[in-house]
Amino acid sequence: MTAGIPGTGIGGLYYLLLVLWMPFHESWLMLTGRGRPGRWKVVFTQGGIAAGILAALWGEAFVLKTLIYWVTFSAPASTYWRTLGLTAGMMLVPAVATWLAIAILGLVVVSANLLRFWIRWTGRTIQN
Amino acid sequence: MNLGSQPSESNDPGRDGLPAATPASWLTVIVPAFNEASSIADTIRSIQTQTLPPREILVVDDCSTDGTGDIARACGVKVLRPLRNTGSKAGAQNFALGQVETDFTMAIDADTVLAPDAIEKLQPALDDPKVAAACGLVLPRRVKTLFERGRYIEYLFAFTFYKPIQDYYDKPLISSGCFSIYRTAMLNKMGGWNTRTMAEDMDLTWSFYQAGHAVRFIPEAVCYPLEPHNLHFMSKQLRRWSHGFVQNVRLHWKGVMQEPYLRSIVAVAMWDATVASVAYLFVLPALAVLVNPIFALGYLIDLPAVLVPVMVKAVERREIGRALASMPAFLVLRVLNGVFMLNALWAEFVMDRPLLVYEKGH
Repeated sequence: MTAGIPGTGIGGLYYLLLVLWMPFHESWLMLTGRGRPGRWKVVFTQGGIAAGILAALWGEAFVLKTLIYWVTFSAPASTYWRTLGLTAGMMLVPAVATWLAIAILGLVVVSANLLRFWIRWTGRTIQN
Repeated sequence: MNLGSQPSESNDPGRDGLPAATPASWLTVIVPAFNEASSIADTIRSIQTQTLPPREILVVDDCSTDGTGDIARACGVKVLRPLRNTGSKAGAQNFALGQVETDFTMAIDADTVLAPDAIEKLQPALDDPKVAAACGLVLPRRVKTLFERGRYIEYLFAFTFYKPIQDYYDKPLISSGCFSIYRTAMLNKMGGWNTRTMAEDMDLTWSFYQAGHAVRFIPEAVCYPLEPHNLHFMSKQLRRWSHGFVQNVRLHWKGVMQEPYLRSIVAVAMWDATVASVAYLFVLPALAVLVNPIFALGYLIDLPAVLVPVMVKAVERREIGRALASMPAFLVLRVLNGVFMLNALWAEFVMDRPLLVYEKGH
């Protein structure tokens, strides 16, 4: 989320993946003699924040799952709370949400790249 | 970079006991101001007492009616006044740009104060001749009202997590207009700050990338603007920002798509802005009412992910209590962001009714 622009959905995931890519990117830059001083500090700092975010999300999923489980099985059958718990259990499946987010992110990034090639190709066609 | 006059070894105490510095010949500061009588003196003082002060400060009094120009003059800076109001911040900045004779130009809002070493911290980033602009960390000066608190969390998150990553990949999304230093020659080559969109800073940043230049973000250089304190002023600012973003996407999309990382950053931001707005305003309330109230948790589901970077910066700044107390305000502000973003998308893309009138955010 950039200030004034809503959303931490696939944006958050995108930045997490960029952080995961940083050590490989930085190693490659170093090997090819293009490394800059101080960049490993950024890699480690952002890596630490990303790890913290992943841990926080895992903790949240665990708490939610436990809570839903507890609500579902401690409430008497055919009551509102039992129904609520069962529905939530079926709908709040973190694994499905994560894969869906990854798929959408992939689609958006691939679309941006395809658009780039299309712009280049049409530009060249017009020039020719 | 040749700084000309370097900071002196003088023992004259400056602010906070720091040695006073001799004005450096490399930098001119432009302060656009329209009715900023209550804040302009603080802004000027914060520039004058920098550990690396500029050669000249130009205040553009954009036909203020509250004595802004007189206050600035009393602070000992040069005041320029156009014959008519220029109509926007970009217009006021361009009015002064012709008078800049230094290699670098700094833009700062008239409601913004700098940390005492902000310019000194930003300066090394400009040693690289490819760098056309450098910007710093932005934090609200006042954190009291709901809107200021919401913005405080947005800034803590964005400037701690997103912006350093963007900078690592050499593509900060925006060199913030409230405090940035530009290479004057490159700024002039771009024609100054363009008035064609409501977000002249984003327009300039993306233009720099397309011209092959670089932009840097330096988190150690801190500035403190006054953020909108109520709904009236926040609405004006959000209208400008959301329309500005959409206008820039519309204007630059072909060029942006050719820039590595920037194309993904913009595409993802555009997707998120649209989908999150629809989710906050329509999908979540509908699901919560029609299917199951548990869906209302959707408003909170990403809170732990937001909290981590926010707390990292809050701990560093010893503002843990303030950050925790401000989290609920953030939840409100992002729904409001959604309202203005959808409105901007609808007006700019569907109705083809661009926002053309610049309104100040405070």
